[in-house]
Amino acid sequence: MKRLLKADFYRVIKSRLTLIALILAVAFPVLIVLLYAGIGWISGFEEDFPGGSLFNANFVISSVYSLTNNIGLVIPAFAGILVCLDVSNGTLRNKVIAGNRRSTIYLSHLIVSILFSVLIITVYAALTAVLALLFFPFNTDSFQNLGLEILYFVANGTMSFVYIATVTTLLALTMRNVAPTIIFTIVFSIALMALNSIVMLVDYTPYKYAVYFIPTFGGNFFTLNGGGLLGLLNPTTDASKELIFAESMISYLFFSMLHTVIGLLIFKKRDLR
Amino acid sequence: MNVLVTKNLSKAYKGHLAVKDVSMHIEKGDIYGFVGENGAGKTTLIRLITGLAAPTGGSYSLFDVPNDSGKIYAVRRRTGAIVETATMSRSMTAMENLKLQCSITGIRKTEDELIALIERVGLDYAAIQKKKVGRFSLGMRQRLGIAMVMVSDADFVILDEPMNGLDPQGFIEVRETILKLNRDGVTFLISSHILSELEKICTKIGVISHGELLEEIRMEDLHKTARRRIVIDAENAEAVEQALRMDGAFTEIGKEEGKLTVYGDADLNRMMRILVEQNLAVRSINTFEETIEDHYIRLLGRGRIA
Repeated sequence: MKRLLKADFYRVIKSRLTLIALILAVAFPVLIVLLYAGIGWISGFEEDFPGGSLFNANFVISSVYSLTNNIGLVIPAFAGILVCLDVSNGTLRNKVIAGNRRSTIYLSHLIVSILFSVLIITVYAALTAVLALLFFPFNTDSFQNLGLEILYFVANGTMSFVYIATVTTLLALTMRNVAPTIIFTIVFSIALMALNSIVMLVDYTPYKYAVYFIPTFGGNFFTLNGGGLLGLLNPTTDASKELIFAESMISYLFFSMLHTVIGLLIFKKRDLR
Repeated sequence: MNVLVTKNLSKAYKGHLAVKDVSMHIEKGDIYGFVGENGAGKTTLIRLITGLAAPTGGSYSLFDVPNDSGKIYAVRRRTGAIVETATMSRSMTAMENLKLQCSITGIRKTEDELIALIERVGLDYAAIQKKKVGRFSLGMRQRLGIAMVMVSDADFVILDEPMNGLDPQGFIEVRETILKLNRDGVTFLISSHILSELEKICTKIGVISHGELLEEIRMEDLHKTARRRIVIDAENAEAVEQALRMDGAFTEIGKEEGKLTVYGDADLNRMMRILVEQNLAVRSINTFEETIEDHYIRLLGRGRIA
């Protein structure tokens, strides 16, 4: 496993896609924060806006882990391409010929995809947060324990990308083709977020149970939107945030493992081109 | 010592048998030439042996380790292969690809050793140092592919059409590289449709057609059983053919492009005597030893090859 990880990291580091992803992870926050600041300045909305400033830092930061926002779509697409290139270049064949087990090859790709996704989203989220705090006020009124809530928000958001990396790896190593992998990964992310929204819009939804079946649903409880107008859209439940967080993590882990096991079973059986 | 033994190895794709009950045997030190028409099943068989595809019947062993044993992964590290085309990352340089291959195989090599390897397969390192592999010619990629196989210090190397895309100089370099490595103890399985090249290096050949291994023969045995043929360019080919047939000693006579070919260990002196006695004018008489190509054509039948 160690040598395959070394090989896969070497390939990812040498790839231009990694550099492009890092550039985008830096460029998007700058553009977005400047855009929000510009809109806020032109519209003249200030502190007197009901519920506070229209674009407070809470609002800007809350969307950083969205799977359907700019970098949210770029990360799984790029991770998918990086895995698929191993197949299309034939370097995957070299790994099999050199006596590496299929399961080790799969897991090495999965680990590298996860770390690639986590690295890019962390750079993006951190820079967005720094810039947002420079340009906008941060509303702390509605938080009981700000540090813990930020921890939940970051952990939950990061896990959503870990989960999508398991889906991307599954699709890339079973489809072995760049275009369908990207399309299906993006469709999957959009479908997941759409399902999230639909469940949120249905009245009297037992939100707590949705966490079990939609791994990304837990993110709705940890948005940092407290105090803002959009914070009103957050779901409410009697359950403690600690419990929801734990359930959300279990859901992520369960679905991530499920996709990995399915992917491993298919990949081990398939003949390689 | 056995390097590769297959027993009734088969592979079916959606009801079509691409490889049928192939039983072949490669011993240490062999350069095994794998001969067959396009689609004969050569690449499929190589894909089975290298673990890229799973057999649907039969079994094989590498270095006496059965394919269903957990130890097969360890012995695969002693093999290197180019299947169909040399596989490498086109966005990387030759050196980066070799470093990647080192990581994949778990072999440590210094940059100087890798440069020596690049030059050994006939690539000019100074000229290609900064060039991405995507800009290499097919021949250059093929040579780099061989270098990548050699990175692992493999005991058994499988090359699927290694001469593809190479110029005559490239042919010679690859041939010399194979022979040198073989002298160092490396066993080879080489599939190629360039039979004259195989003849120069192989110690054993296997002829495959329509997924079946028709014959497996050592080159020394092939030479022992090789049939001579005499090609006669005569002014009146019909009269010469008739005279030879009348004698009774020359039964296997063929005609191609106006020239007569007499197969078998024909007595050349007797033939000359007949031609002189009957005053038959002859422009030239040439004798040829049977080549792999002749043997292959004879085995498969000219009609099947055409």
